[in-house]
Amino acid sequence: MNVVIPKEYPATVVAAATLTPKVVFLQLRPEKTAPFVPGQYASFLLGNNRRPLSYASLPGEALLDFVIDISPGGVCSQFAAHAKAGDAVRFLSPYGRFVMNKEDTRPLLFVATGTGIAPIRAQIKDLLAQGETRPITLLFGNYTERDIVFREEFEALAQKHSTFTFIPVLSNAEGAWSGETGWVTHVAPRRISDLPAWSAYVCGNPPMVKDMTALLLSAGTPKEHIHTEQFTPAS
Amino acid sequence: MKIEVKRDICIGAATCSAIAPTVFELDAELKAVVKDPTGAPDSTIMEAAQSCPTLAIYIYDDAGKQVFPVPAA
Repeated sequence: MNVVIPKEYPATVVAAATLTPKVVFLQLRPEKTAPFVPGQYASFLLGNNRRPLSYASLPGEALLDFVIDISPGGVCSQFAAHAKAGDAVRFLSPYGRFVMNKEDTRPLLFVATGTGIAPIRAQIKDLLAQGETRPITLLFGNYTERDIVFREEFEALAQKHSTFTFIPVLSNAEGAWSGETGWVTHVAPRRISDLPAWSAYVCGNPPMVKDMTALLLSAGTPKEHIHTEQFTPAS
Repeated sequence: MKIEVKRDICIGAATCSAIAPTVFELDAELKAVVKDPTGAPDSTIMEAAQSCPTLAIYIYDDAGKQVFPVPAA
């Protein structure tokens, strides 16, 4: 895809909410429409620093959604942890090539860990809103049940769309969890028997992205059908 | 003018290579590298640096003074 030269956009924080002890949800109202494609990101101007954050919302919506892991405690963490309605922010946009291949006709496997769900949330919601009929499966890896952001939303989408399957995976399951446990790399081949026939979109921490890519390649998924975005916690 | 790409900061957005393709390219690790520091006018190189989403491109003048990102006062 062609790289679009980013422009600067001013915006106002509309909502800032704690989704989990480590993750903050930010909603912004830009002063003018900031064009982007699901999967892309903005770069926030934070003093003398810039921090990339993927859009978790859809293009054309009045409000822009972001989810931020504040556990690193750095510039972006501080910004998100202290953001409140009415705050003015600026960002550059759009950036990124982690976007859907429009020519592709394969079933779609999305794999995310943690806040790596942000661009994938935008992609899945966009696909379903457009009436996509291909099978879509989301493997979403987290430590514990309380770390699963947007869980109710994905469960509702799976209820509404028979083609969409939501599979949360917990590496440190507690209590009465009856879902998948372990790593997404272990669950993927178990839940999808014809893995090489799927196109994969993978976003999350670098070791997961690396391991999932290796798994898909070894399973026989052609390289051109593996799309990745390494998503390190915002520092 | 001297150009430096901080590899540990670069995330391979490729904005620099889109703005100044004769100066920047992505290597096999999808990190920006300088292939020809004189391949475009200084203003174009500066625009490429200013468009980086992580401020990974540093520009120094001929005396070695950092001119972008503008050092904090």
